[in-house]
Amino acid sequence: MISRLAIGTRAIDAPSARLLLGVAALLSGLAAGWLSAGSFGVLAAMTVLLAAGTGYGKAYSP
Amino acid sequence: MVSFVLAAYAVPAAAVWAGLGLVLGALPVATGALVLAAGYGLGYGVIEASGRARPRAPGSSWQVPQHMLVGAGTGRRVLIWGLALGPGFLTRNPYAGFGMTVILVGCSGHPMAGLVVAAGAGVAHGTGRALALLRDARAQAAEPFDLLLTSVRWRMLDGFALLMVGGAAVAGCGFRFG
Repeated sequence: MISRLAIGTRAIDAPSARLLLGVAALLSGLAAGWLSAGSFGVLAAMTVLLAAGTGYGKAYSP
Repeated sequence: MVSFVLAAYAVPAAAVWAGLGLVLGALPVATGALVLAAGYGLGYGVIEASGRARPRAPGSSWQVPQHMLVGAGTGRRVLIWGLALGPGFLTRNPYAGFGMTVILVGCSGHPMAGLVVAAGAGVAHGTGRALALLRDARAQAAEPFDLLLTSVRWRMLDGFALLMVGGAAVAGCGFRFG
């Protein structure tokens, strides 16, 4: 099998992988919101995780 | 020194965010914020996950002026950086997920819930910034290309997170309006 990925890139960088992960993320969010009956608790947990991620990841921005 | 850096970033962040959460929780914006969270999450989620550079994430382009740091000792510098960067509102954050956290705080619908969630988000953001700073201080400086590649991947991850939050907000809208 010939890899179409450039040097330094990974399988996750491929458009098909992005699409698959994006759909999985969307569906898991829908499922979490549906299972929690629209409770704010799920969004609250996501708020804290997003804040931590954007804070830590900021250091990577050139 | 580690505890000092963590506190310098997390404490001001918790205070600023708690105030924001109290105000947003007291305002009648919960339903509008939920609809906005759904649209913002899906929109920016697709943009970031697909690797598109524009439109850029909303935010400030202000930078800490050098005159505030010139001549300052290490402790004072850490305090200035912590005050300015810990809460995250003053300087640019390339990830749209940061804006989403503010919108989600607005979804709380109650001052106390808003305060608690926002304070948690503030501590998480400030601690994240401080941990990244401590990591960079210990590690060897990354090559510019590696840094760029990591930033692109981090933005993609942020896009997936936004799609997840957007999905949860869409479900929340379904329960709110259904």
